Amino acid sequence: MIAPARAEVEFGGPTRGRVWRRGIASFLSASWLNVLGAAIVLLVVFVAAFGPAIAPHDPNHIDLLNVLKPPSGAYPFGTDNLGHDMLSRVLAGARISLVVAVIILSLSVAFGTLLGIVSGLMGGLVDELIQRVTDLFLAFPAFILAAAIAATLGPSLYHTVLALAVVFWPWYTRLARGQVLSLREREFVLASRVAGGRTRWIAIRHLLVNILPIIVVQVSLDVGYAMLATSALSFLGLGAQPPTPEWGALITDGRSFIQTAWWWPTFPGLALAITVLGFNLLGDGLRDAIDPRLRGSLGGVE
Amino acid sequence: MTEPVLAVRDLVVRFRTGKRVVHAVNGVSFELEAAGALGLVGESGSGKSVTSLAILRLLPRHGWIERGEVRFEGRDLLALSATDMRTMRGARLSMVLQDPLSSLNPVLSIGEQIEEAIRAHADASRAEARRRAAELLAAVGIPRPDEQLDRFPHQFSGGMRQRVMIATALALRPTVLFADEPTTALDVTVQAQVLDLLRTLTAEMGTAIVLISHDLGVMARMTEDICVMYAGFVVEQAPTEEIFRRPSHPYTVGLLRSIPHRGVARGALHAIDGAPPDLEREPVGCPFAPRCAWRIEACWREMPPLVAAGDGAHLLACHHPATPEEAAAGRPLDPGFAPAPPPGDVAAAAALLEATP
Repeated sequence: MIAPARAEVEFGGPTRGRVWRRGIASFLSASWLNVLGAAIVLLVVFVAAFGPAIAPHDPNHIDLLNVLKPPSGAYPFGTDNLGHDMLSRVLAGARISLVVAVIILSLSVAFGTLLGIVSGLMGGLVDELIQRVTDLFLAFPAFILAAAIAATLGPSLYHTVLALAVVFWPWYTRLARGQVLSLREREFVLASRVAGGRTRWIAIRHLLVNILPIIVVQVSLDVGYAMLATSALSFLGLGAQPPTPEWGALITDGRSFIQTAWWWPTFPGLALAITVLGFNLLGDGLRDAIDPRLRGSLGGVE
Repeated sequence: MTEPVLAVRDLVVRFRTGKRVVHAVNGVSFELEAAGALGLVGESGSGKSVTSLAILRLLPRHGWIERGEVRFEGRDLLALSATDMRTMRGARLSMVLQDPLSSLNPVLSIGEQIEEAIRAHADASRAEARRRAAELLAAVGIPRPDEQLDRFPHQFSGGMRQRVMIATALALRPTVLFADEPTTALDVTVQAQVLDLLRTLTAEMGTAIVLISHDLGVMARMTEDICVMYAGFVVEQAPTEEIFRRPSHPYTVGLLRSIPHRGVARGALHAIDGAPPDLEREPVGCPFAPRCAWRIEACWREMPPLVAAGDGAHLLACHHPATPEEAAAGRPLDPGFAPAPPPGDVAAAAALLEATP
């Protein structure tokens, strides 16, 4: 009785592993900027992981015989007024910036996304409450709020992390809630309910999985901002304290020496600028790569 | 007659849109025997889908069940706790939704989605669920099921996806399966295959089916009994053959006449004049009266009850049903009969007063 259906469809589509490989290939071939962004990000991650191993000196080693040396073979990025090797310090700074950005975004993504899903799924009073609190945080200029929190808690890298997490989470709440509002009306959510799915299960299986691509894009764009904000707070003296080789702190230390030792603030500044550029390029590329697929998969258009 | 597995009594469903109330379902009753096949037929907005969603207690959040009783295997579904109801859904009562293109999550593989339905109820390991999912895919006629489990919905055609939905819905051998326009979104050539599949599998499993459709051709092939719905009311209910042989409600007559026949001259499609009523208004009288050629004065005032007409299996809610000759002709044959004009304002006010206690 069951009609054979072989002619109905071609079963030649790729499986999961090949979808990934093909996706990465098409992402890289879409634009040379994507390649550049990916290369910079890979380089930063590599330096963060192996920086201390490849650095020529201990970043905190004081060498008073080699103070304020211009870039040379022995000290490619020069030295500061305590004879610290700037190359070693810049390399060490990569790990600090990356780890700090990862912690800030993990905190705000976890908290913000969870709150956004709850808000969108529950609706009513809970939604209203969460959204007004979110508004409250978004109403403040982000950087001023972070600076105020960091200043209140006292200058420290940990407090900077906390302050920036407080500034970043509302964006993820907004993002997640907006997506959930449209996703929860989708047939496949109803289909899951028809099949007897639990609400918690639906939230994780159907909603979270579907908003993940958008969250990933937002994170890749925000990594750069988080690094920049961390360095900015450190530059203002609210974040990392000497002798921590945080890029912002290095820039602020070297600021007054710019006329006599230009290399001191310049190399940390370049490292920061290039890193942020790399993450932004990657984020932009990811957004462009995922957007057309969003129209296909999330918009319901084939 | 055996004990029905599903008995719906006087189900009333309302929706709120802004400040207005939509009278979506206005007292629907029907019974479904074990392994039976019941059709709910009617045009868009007649309350077919809402009825099935209400039975599963999956109405959208602005809808609610005003009153009524749904007895399933001797239990009152409307009195169950949310948790107990969840364990019923998918396992004992299941549903195939209208649009297979959007009923599957685009980012999860086919296998994951069938396994999900199995593991929502049965305490099965992933490997067991996967093996069962492959069996189900084979049962719904998908070739090389093991390979397909790892593929994604967009790699499947509409017909294939609907087969996957059927596999999911029947994964736990439910007692009752609702199929809400299961073939509407499919190509005509695929429709027949999917319907055959539904009929074969439900027959094998002893699953009773409630088929929702506006397609009378589908109804004729698939069902034993038909409920004709209009504006949230059941207006006629009878064995399928009886509906086709002796339609009595003017709306049923109109529906049957609107099926295009081969050999009829081009352009000669029969439509029912007028449009369905505004469901935001409190129903007064028969909802079909404004479009009905048979209407008498009473039709404007009161909704006739659904009572036995002829033999006991044929139920009808009509003050002035069509005779078989009239049904064939598509109009009242009584010489000198004219449809009763709508009551004047005074009469309408009186009717309103009478209708509201």
